Amino acid sequence: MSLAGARFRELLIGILATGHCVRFPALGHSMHPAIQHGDLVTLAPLGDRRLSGDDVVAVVRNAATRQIMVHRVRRVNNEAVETRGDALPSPDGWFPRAAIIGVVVRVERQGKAVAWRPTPWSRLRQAVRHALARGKGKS
Amino acid sequence: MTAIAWETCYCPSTNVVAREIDGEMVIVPLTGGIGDLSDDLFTLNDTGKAIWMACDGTATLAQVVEHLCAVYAAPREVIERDVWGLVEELCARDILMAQSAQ
Repeated sequence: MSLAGARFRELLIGILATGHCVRFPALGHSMHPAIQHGDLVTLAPLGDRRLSGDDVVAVVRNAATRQIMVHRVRRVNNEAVETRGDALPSPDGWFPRAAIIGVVVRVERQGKAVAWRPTPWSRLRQAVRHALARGKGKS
Repeated sequence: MTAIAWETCYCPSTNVVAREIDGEMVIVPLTGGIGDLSDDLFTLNDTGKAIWMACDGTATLAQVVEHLCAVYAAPREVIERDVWGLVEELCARDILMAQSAQ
């Protein structure tokens, strides 16, 4: 999922920079089914938080355009994280920790909080989906 | 409406985050420490921005009017009316607050 509109992005970055959380409607389908188009997503400032492979983070993917995406952390090292949208076949690449502006702490759908962390079942489904996508790419 | 006074200093409430974006002042109310971008946001025009920026907690409303009269070539009564109207509305919405109340 991405965040449209330069003013919206500036506002989101600005609120997180003040140390407050920010809630906004999700756009797009790249994090389906964990985060769906129209879900309300709450981001918290990253601060000193240690990231793991289950976290979903907001990343400034292009410093010039300030384009932001909200994808799941795939791998972490001391200086950077690799992200991928749950519904996407390939990773986005590595981003420096400084490019991460927030981490998802709550997802709401139709007024109710929903789980966005992967379950064993969702991991299996995702692995099968990616395997099928790779198979289609080879054939 | 919230009662306001010319001799009181006003400042932004701790329940909002204000950011200037493309020359426009956008105010996001905080609910439980969360800025809700799915809700209605407040946007101030040039006049509103000038009043907002003058309400920094150090100047009384009367001094804000004096300052704006010195900067803008508008009749004093118009400036007084704009300042009073906006500050009254922003206080009613908990966006501005009296300095002594902080």
